[in-house]
Amino acid sequence: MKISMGQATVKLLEYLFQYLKLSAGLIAVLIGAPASRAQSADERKPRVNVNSNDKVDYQALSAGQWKSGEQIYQSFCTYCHSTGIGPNILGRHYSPVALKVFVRNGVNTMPTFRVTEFNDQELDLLAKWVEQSSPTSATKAEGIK
Amino acid sequence: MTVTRRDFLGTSAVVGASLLLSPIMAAAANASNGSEAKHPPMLAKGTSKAGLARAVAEYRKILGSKNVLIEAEALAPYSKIMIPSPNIQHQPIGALIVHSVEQIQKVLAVCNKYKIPIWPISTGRNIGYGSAAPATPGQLVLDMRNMNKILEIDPILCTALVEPGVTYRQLIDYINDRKLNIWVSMPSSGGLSGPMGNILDRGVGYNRAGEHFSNFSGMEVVLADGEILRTGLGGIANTTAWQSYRWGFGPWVDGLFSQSNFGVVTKIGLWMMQKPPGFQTFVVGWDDVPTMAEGVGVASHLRLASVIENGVVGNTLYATAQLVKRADMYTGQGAIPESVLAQYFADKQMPRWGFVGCLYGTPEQIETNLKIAKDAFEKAGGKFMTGPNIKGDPNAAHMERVMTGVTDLTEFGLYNFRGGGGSAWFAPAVPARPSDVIKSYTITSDVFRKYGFDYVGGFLMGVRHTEHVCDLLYDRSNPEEMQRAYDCFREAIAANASAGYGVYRTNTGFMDQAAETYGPAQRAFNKKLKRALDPNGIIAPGKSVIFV
Repeated sequence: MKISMGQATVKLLEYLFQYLKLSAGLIAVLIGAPASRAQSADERKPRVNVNSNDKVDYQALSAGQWKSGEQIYQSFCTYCHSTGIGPNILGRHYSPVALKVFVRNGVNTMPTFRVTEFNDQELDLLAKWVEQSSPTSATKAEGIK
Repeated sequence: MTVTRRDFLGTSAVVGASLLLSPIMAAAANASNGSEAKHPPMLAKGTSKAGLARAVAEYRKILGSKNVLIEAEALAPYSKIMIPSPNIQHQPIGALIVHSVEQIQKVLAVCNKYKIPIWPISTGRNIGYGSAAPATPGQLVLDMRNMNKILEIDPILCTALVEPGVTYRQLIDYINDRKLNIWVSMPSSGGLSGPMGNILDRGVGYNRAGEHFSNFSGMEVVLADGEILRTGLGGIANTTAWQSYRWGFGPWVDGLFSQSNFGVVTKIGLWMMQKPPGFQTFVVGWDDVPTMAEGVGVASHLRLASVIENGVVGNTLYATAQLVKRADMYTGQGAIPESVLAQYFADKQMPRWGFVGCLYGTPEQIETNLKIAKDAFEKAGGKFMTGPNIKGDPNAAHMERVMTGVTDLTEFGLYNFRGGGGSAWFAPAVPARPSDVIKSYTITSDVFRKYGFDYVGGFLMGVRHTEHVCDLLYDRSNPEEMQRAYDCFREAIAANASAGYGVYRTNTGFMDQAAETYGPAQRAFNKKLKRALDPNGIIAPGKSVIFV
């Protein structure tokens, strides 16, 4: 586990430790065959826009549709973690394991994010991208290199 | 009645004590807030263990096993709440991930067969109102987040038809990518939430289309018996008018599906704001409550005259709490004393109350309306500001963004003010008369102070009313403080109701009391409808305290 020093890191570890300790009996169960993506019988065909040839059938921003961890970060995390509302998490080399616990459990004031928003494989991408991210100017201002 | 994993797996499964769902669920909850005793999850009233196990097997056949979540770890994101109500009262026993209307129909058939209640969510972001968790324990969350298509957009009439999982961000990205002349109205949580849930809970946004339940047209609803109802002109085959005319023919029933549990809404039409040629943000400041209340009256007058089309009035602590920590203002016991607040804001040369509005239109329209608004507010004692005076104000900048179609979560900074993850929105609807504004403010702030909480609130301007919205911020990791927040919230509802002000919306922990204040006739009527439309009570029992 590659973790830099700092108060936020300590807190992160505390939460992680607490979580792992309390959920020691947890086992992965009940993972079955993937669901077939059934389509509704009445699914509406997109109507052509009044003033354009652009067909409206726009589906994005949910599980199974993300292209990269950075895209997820920019669509969700950045609202708080790049604005000072939440701690700056870029360039700190946070553990992907800890980050995933935070994302799914929403420790303290943080909202939770469900598997329908990004699935576990996409969460892996996000966690890895955050772990490997470069320090921002905000990170550097906090003394992290 | 408690449930073990054995109940789901069947009797042949080997299940040790350590695999009971209960400690894991409690662990997930406690990891979030650290405050509550461990409790096993409860079955919903009227549900049997055997029935639940058989239902789960059928849900898996319909949805696939990976879309039927029952393990505690997977349910943690559905369980987190910020309201002062025990987690155990809102603990789901599972979650069903659906991708189509057809799947919902099949799921409802199974629910009817085994009397299993489900709690539908769209984006599940009713933060401070109960988030994604159900009103009563033991329900399965019906997660429609992956039904997320923008089905239609009319860029001329500024309408859209969307599925439950569409987010504001997605809609705005779509519109911006295609350079359509549309601005979407959204609540302060717009970066994460979506239009369907906000419209159905009668939420509020900030631009010309800010009263969201006045700015939608047409719903598709799956009823408990699986029938599909399209409201209004949605009943006409091949209509192109569904999203342009709301009322259709005969009784208008759309309102029955808001803040209710009479069906599962699977499509909704929304009305958006035509992007104007220009805009001008302005701010009004007041130093005391009577002058602020007069200002609310002025704002209502200006809205009635269509001079202004939106506006929020905020206590300056509401704005400040988004940016600073409470401990930097005050470390003593109880609510921050008035003398401390007065000194703090005097030092910073900030008024005690502020209004932010945004004028839309051509330069000529804006110039004319700006002058009318300035004269009216100043005459009533307000300090009127535009341009450079407000450019550096982060709160005015935030309001300008959400009033001009840009997602922004600045208000989430409120959750850092006191810390501890506790938040509950208290929001009575109040007539936009100065006397009523003063009365509701005085009642509410007195109750908050009595229980040691700060008044962090303001008034969202309707035309003839305001939503008096206050965020009850408390430390949810402290059981004593959570109990105090619970007592405070109850008293705030009761005290406002005694003065004639009912909450326009409330969280899942206080719906019983809110419904009580609205009297027995409405409750009885709702029950009659519920019995007729959903005799097994499978859709969201407890929403607005509506049961069979």
